[in-house]
Amino acid sequence: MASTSPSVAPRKADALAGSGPRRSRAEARSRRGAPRRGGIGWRGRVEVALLSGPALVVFVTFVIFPVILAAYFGFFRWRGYGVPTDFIGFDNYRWILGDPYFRAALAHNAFVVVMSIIIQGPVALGLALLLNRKMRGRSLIRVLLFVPYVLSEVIVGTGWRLILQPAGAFSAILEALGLDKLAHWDWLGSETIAPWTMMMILTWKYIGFAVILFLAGMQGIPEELYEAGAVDGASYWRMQFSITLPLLAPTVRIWGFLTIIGSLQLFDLIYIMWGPVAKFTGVSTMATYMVYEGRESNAYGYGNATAVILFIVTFTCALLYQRFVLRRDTDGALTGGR
Amino acid sequence: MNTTRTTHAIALCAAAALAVGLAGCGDNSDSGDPGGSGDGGQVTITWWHNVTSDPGKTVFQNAADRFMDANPNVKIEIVPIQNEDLQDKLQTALNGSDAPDMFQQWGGGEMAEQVDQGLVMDISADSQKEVEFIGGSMAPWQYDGKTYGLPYTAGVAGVYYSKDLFDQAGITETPQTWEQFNDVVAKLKAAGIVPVGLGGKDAWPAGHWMYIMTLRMCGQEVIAQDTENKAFDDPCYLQAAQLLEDFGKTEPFEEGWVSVSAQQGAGSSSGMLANHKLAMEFSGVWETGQVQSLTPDGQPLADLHWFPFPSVAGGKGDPKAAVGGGDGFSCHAKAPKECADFLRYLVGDETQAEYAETGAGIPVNPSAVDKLTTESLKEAAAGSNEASFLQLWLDKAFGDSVGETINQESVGVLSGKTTPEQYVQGLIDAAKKG
Repeated sequence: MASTSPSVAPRKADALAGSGPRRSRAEARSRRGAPRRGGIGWRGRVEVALLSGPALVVFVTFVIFPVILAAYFGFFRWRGYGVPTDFIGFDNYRWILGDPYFRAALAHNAFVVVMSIIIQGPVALGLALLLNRKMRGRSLIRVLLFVPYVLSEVIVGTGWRLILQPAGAFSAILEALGLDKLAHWDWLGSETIAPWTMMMILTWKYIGFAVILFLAGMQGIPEELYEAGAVDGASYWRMQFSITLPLLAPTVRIWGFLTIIGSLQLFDLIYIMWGPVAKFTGVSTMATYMVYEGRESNAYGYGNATAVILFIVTFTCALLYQRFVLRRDTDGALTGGR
Repeated sequence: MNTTRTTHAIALCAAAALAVGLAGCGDNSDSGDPGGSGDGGQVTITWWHNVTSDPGKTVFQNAADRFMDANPNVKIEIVPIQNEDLQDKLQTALNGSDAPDMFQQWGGGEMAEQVDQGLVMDISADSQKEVEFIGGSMAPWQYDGKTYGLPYTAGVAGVYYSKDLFDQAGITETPQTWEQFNDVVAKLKAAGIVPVGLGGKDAWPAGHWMYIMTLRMCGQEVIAQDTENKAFDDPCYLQAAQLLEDFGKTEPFEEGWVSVSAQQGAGSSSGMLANHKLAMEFSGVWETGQVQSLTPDGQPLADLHWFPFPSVAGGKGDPKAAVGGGDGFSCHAKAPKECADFLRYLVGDETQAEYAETGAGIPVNPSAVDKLTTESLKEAAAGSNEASFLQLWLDKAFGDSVGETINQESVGVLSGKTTPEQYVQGLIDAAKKG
């Protein structure tokens, strides 16, 4: 703000636009380049207010306000009835961060983030490359791959629970195949097996999403590049490595972003399949910790504090990813504030 | 993928907004008549209960139908909600403006909290007769000398077992002591029968084992003290956990019990008992009805019997004491006064007789006790009478944070994932949280 000659009118406009120093820098740039337009006029302002008003109200009411409220509740010992009165400062946060179960949940979240990217990324890329070729039954396979993603997570969880439960359908199949040892594995209850069961289901469920995303990205790669490659005598694999993958990178980075956020907030599947024992089977997440230590325990202050930590962790990851990974994608794409 | 992070906050926010914005409107169904003075006006009573399966569900429906016939100005809207869901929804609803008029009430510390917030109707005035005949089981629904709800079923937890499977293993007598109980477990195992069912996934069934063991080792006096000051410094808590840790090491439960649910479907622990896949389960008075709903033909399990939890050597507790409680209902403070009438009707002779006859559970009305038909219920009813003391379920008695910790950590102790020392520390930590 201080960098340009002070005049009252533009400042007012900045304040109205409500985006602070970043915007003013952009305007400063535009002022240097081209003669500045004189404000947007009252018509323009009415238009902006009418168009953005409802969305803004909803956003503030249902996103900003609850976040602030959660931060407020997090400072109280509060059992959920009436108005919180028992102020305890940062005690909730100290207890949460000192709780081995919370640290374990955080570690499980990290496991899901890393494993989702390591497992789903390559598999989805392979499938997308395959499905990008002309072949019989291609659209059918695409649809089938996408079906699990469309299903509600609650239904998926219930279904897999019934299949994998002790003496369930999966054990019966293994037994019928003569794999008696494997049939007695505790797919849901064992601390060493359950995390992998979870990863298997998550991969099954979300691989379709990644494939669709990658396929869409591949559609955007100009055909001419492949033709040029063919003229130069490049092999199929050579073309995939030198043309498809580099040009698909922005799509992969966006997919990575969505996967990280989704993995950090993982809840439904765990809640349905494991419930309160998730913490004994190595699959609890920050979100299930929040629900069981907060809501189910009627310790609402504690739960809200957990929500704040979950928010901070997710938000930090998102910001870091945007700053260091997504920047190259968004750099040229943003217009300087106009 | 999901927005759990903010859902709760949104709900609260929405509730707050509604409370401010709609305070005047309240619940349309009953706000017109807050004092309940006009008898001629139409009133609607919404009723949330957790009996989602027969026979109990039909008994409640019939009771509501009869009450509506007798009181044409009353309309009762029944909303059966699965137990775990109900516990979640109720808390949110009671904070908001669309709370049910009549709702499931387990009494104890949780009810006290609701009463302090002015959410529960005081029904002491016209309920002396009911309070009298319900007798000792009444305590959890009373607070500061006033009555805030009525149980429709109550009794002590005990071991429900299949007599056929006991016979098959050559067991002729039910165990009286913890050693004998362990012998029974060993004999059943030797006969290739899964001895004990436990729905670990829901956590509270594991908690039940900890409640009774704590009662045996600590006695009701220590528990009563810790209900107040939540110190948990008596070594008896550690002893109880150690006994269960040792018990868990003998692998008495079904394969993969940690992820088996308690009541949902044939693969649940109650379902396995209903299908002779395991021999016994330590459970509350709802077990007979629950097992019946999970037998292949929906009929009562013919060979289901009951025995009280055995005595345990070295404990301070009275070996005749038992844990238990009941299921009951409260009326919301803003509900029409007809709600209290219906509450009393539910424990009246007619409904209680039907409740007993269908084998849904043990009635609280003594006039209905001899209407019981199934063996396990008769035995459990007799056992409830003989118990020297009824200790309310510890998760209800201690309140939610400690209660939830007992339930969850019992799974840990029985499966060897939590040490007894960690368990006791967990209780102390939980008490701080609220």
